[in-house]
Amino acid sequence: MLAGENGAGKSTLVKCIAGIVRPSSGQIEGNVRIAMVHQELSLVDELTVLDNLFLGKEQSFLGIVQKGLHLKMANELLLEMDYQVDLGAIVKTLSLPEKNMVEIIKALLQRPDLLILDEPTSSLSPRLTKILFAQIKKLKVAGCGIFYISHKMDELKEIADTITILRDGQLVLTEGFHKISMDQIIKAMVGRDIEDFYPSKEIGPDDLTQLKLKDFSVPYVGSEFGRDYFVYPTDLEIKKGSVLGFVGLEGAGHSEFLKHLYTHKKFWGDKRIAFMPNDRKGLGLILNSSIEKNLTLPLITESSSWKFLRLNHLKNRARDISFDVKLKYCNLNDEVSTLSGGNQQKIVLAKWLMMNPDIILMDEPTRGVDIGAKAEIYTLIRNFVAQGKSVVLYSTELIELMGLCDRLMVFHKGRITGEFTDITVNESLQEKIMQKALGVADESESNQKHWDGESSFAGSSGVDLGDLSGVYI
Amino acid sequence: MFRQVAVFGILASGMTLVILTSGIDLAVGSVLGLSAVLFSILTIKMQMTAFAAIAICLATGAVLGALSGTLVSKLKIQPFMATLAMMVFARGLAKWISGGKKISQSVENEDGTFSFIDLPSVFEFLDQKIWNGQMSVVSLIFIGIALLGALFLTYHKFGRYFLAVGGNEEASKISGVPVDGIKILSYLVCGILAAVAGILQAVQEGQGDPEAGGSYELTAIAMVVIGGTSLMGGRGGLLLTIFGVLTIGYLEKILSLNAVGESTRLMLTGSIIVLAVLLQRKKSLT
Repeated sequence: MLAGENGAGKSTLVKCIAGIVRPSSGQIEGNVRIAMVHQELSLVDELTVLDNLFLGKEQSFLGIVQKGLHLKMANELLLEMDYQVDLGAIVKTLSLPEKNMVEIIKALLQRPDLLILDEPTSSLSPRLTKILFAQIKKLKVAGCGIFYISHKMDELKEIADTITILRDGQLVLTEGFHKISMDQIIKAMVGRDIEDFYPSKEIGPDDLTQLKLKDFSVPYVGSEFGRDYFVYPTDLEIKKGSVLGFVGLEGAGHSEFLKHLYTHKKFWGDKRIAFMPNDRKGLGLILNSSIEKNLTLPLITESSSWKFLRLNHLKNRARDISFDVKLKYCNLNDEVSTLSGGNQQKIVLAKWLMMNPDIILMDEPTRGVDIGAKAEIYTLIRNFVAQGKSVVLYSTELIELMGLCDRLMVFHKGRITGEFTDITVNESLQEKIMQKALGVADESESNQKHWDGESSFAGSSGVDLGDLSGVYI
Repeated sequence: MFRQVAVFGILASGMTLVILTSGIDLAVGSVLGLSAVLFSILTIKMQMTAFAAIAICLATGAVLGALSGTLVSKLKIQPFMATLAMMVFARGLAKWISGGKKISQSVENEDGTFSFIDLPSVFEFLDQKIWNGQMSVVSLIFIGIALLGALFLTYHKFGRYFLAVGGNEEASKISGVPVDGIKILSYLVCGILAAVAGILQAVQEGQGDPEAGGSYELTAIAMVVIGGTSLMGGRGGLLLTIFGVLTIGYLEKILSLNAVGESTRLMLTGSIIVLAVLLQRKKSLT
């Protein structure tokens, strides 16, 4: 078990072991078959599942690929795992969890002596995670070494024997897992206590209304969810100086709510609204452009089109804002793609802060961001609303929402089913919120099944019961 | 019909392999010219046997192709630039070995008169029609190459690697696919096929023209794309390219049969390329 913050060097270490990256010094001893499940999916979208499973490891006779043998081997493993996937399907038609599973099966097919898993469960549902863990336990019994990298602490509890923690490329500790407490682990990862992980919730200067939405609805064309609206007509008030959190399962309507509000200016009144999308690389940043150019992009689009750009002014603004958000960088001209996920996310946030909006809508602002940067982003958010501004955010991590928000709205099937104020992080509240999100107040077991079905039906990934209850710090 | 498009079809087949790996080869036209000249010199002037001449031509194509491939994969030069350079270089080479003149039966004597020597039999053999004139040897070669290539792409593991490298280079590398080798192989095969096309061009014209094949690469690319192979790589195939070859071929034929002037014909061809690509995209979106 290997743990550590983003950028601590976990992925690089295992890539060295698997022979993808050459270590700059030192040697690796031993002669074993190593298979690796990569964090970034390493599948070829245009090929079929079967072709992907055996890519680079084809069983062939005189170069002619033996498809029958491939099929037999794959089916044997699938049977053993009790998992089904259409081997003939083109990979790009699969959902993200299915792709993730294919990636795992691809590694298992090599029958390795050492299996390296780099955050394999990032998009797996609880059911699939269970299948994976069952397989890992079988491999452990069979004498296969497992190298498991994860952010998720509850996973560690289930399968880890020993834990190794890296921080900034340094080995911090290696210890038997049951000999060490959760707090010690977190402290070792972050390098400091994080008792004040969530900044204190000072209510802003006043309790006034920032924006009032009346009869706000998001129509839905189609029948997947069996309803006419993503969000049924509803009234909502966004208060000044407060953080409003949305809770809900995938398809409950919260993220459509945010997108619809942002794309339809008629709802804005006289307010300025910014939107932080959850797809940082695709929608939030120009990856191969410089930090400065990314930061100042909103300023340029704001300035009148017949003027030349005042480059010095832009540079100063970029420098000031990067200082404000504690961005770690060498040079403002560096490409954004060279920064860690946390720093990239800070740029996205800083960009919108520079526009000085009244409301920022955030879709999963801390996705793929390490613990240290998370805490800093939380502080930035609280500082922002302390100026009488507002933030509406959605996150898959309920604990995070509870730690950060002043008010929570729970969505279920397009309707707001609950509203909570005076939120503190505690389990009984968490349970109440989850029940509202599931739409019923009892028999969470049967609900989970129901939800699983809906999830696969919608062909979507990401949010599900497991994530909501996942205790992540 | 096949006979007229065979040369382009062979070029397009090689081009398909390169484009599948998300590359492009602009040098095929020049390599065709070089091969045509070289073949003529070897057979007509030097009276070499057909087999040896063909082997030397193919080897030349292979070397130039492998060179392009190495520039692209090892030295990380963009395919467009690497093969543009190769295009200029190969054309220069063709002009150098031919002295800038067409190589044909007519030989200039020392006193300024011309005499004719016989064309070697290989010209006649490759240019003949068989099966009661139903099929030409040139067409057979094209069809053979295309079918063999299609089978290779589907059933051979290297064929699959072409698609994998074009689809996701990083993923292929991680999976153990020899990415650089596959890229070099694609340019190498493309070079060989360009050399084959050059030989056939020389045979059909009865001479080796150092200017032959100018802008042929663009036609070949158009044929590949009309067939539906994605310029981004990873999607498409050889059978699709044959469809593209025939589309452009028939188009040209229909238009010239109807005595449409060349200017109009070119404009129509341009429009049809756009239409075909739009149709392709619509198909892949749904």
